[in-house]
Amino acid sequence: MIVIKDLLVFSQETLLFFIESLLLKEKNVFLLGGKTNYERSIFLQVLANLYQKFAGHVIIDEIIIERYSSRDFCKKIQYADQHGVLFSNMTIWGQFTYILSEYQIDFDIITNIINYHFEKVGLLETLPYYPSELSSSQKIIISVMQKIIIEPKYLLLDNPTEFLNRDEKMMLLYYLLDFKKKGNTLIINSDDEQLKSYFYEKEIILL
Amino acid sequence: MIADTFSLFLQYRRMLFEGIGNTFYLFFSIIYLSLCIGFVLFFMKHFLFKDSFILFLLNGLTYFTRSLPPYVYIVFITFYFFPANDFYNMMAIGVYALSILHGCTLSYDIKIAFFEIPLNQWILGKILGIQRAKFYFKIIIPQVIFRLVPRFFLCCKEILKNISLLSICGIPEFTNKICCLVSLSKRSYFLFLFTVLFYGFFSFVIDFFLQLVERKILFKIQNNDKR
Repeated sequence: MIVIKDLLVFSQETLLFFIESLLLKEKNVFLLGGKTNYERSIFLQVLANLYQKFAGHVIIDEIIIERYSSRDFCKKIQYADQHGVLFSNMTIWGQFTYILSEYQIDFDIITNIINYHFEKVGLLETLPYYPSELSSSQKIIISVMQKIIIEPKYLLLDNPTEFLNRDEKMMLLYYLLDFKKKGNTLIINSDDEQLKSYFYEKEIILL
Repeated sequence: MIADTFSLFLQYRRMLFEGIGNTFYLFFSIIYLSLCIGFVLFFMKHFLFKDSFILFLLNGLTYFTRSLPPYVYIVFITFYFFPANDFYNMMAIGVYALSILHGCTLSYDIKIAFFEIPLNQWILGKILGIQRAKFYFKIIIPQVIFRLVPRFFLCCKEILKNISLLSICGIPEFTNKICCLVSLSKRSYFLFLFTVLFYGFFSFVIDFFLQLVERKILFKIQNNDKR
């Protein structure tokens, strides 16, 4: 157990409620509300325990969160934002095979997994290309797929549909629905009304 | 006149080609040594001795070598710092001196190429749980090489020019064995013309390859940094 002391200005009640509600898997999609967009995104990053530079802000309360080893942690929680970040020196195919080989999956199974996921989203053609040769919307969708392909339990999304067209938005939402149906939880921060109407189940308001 | 120059070329062709061979040998040996020294210096400055007194000494060494003109630096090293009586020893010390000089400039270029990599690449590797050593070799170092190549080709041009300064050490570059004849012959302009053409052609070759590489690499870098 590790105690995280330095946190941003969120009340203890909201965080405890959030952590308790994660254990209830009846409703798997949580939408963040309240506060500004910036603070909501920081909340997600602190949850994902990735951006350690935010430690050192205002100390409020001690929150106890279970700490896992780095690989197990990555299997539990993944974070994806609206920028569509990919490894710039590898093709899309190369990146996905490299990531899946890190998790000790056989090569034959890797090819099947990649083809299955890309067919769902309709981006099979983008596999042999480098990230610099793709459009920004394709990169955003592929970066979300990069995190989903590891099969985490909790997926934190920060404005995923901000820069997408209507058709691409629907593609991504269908893909996220499939992810949700497998019993995983989604924690989303967005101002998109279409996404809210599609996914709305439970809202968490930050005070 | 053309016939005279051609006859002179035929007369001294063996010595001229020997000189070209020496130049290529020195060029590639200095490039290899300077690359090694550059990477070692970068590693020592930014990882090993990050917050120590040795960093102060290393920074002083690089500042000293980069601030002096190469002529003065080579004379200082070969005649005062490591004096040698033999021609070949002088030449070798001159090669090491030049490789240290260009290694210091390359360490700075490597630093720029390393820290130009956007922060999101490091964060993505951490998010996905990739092992650190594999992450460096598969993702970071190829991107460093991509960004280093244009600067490296410019360094090669400087090395080519500075090789001529090694003639100070005692062995003339490719006026090898005919240095005394140059002063006596009436057609001495021919040899200087040959040197000018040789350097011009070789630097053109480097520029040609540099442009080919820049078109492919910088296009990728510019598109990756845009959002």
